[in-house]
Amino acid sequence: MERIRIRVDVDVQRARRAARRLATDLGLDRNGAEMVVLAVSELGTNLIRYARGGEITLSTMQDERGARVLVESRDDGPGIADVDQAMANGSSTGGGLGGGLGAVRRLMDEFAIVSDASGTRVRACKWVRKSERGCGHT
Amino acid sequence: MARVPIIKVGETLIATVQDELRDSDALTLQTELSAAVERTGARGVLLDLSAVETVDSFLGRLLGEVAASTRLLGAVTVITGIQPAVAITLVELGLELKGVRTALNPEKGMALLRRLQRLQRLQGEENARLLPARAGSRNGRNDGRR
Repeated sequence: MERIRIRVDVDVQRARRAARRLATDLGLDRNGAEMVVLAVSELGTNLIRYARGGEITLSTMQDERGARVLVESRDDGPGIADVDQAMANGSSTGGGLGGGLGAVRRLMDEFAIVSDASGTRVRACKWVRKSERGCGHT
Repeated sequence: MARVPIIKVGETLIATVQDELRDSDALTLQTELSAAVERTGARGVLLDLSAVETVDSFLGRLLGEVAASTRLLGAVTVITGIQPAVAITLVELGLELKGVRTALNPEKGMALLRRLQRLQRLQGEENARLLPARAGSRNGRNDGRR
């Protein structure tokens, strides 16, 4: 398990590298690994832009159901007022920077978000081979 | 990472990104490219991303802005070397870089720039040829009214 504190853009770069290494080591192909890297990048950017920093945790899980990369983003920022709207805007916000939550959901196989006044927590996972089953933690 | 060097070859500026770009590096590159276009009067910009493994929504949007702002300064931007995995994730992001010229590699990018620059020149000559004629006809009409 790797825990990366995100404060500035260099931290996002570190998180991307860690995600690429983890995903590749687990056996994800190039495209699958880049999807995880990109999801981490979007989550990390959100932490800086909207929550004044936070933490990204990367881990892998392997059991009889298969192997998957787990990505978790956690902050104690102001929370997201309207999660549905944030998800919808996600990829295509022309004006607002960051966002990308909708993209994270599309890039990963599983996605869950909890947000309130005490902060936001996003959990997502990607299977080495895509499966219908949940990730075991969402 | 180090700054992205910008070199000038003929009427074209060439910038090769050698490493992953942090957001701040990308912003610096955007500013420096615009400044270089203004300073040199370049007509084309070739931005090679062969070494870039991740283009997230921030960088994707910035690339669009680079193309738009250099266009306003009179230069065409061609982005080259987008890796297949980057192309796939860009589409997933909904960032298809519409309005940004792309080419498979720098060699093809230079060829595309040459074609675009030739087209620009031809249009310039065409305009130069038509404009005095139009001015002349307006005078003619004015004369007729008097």
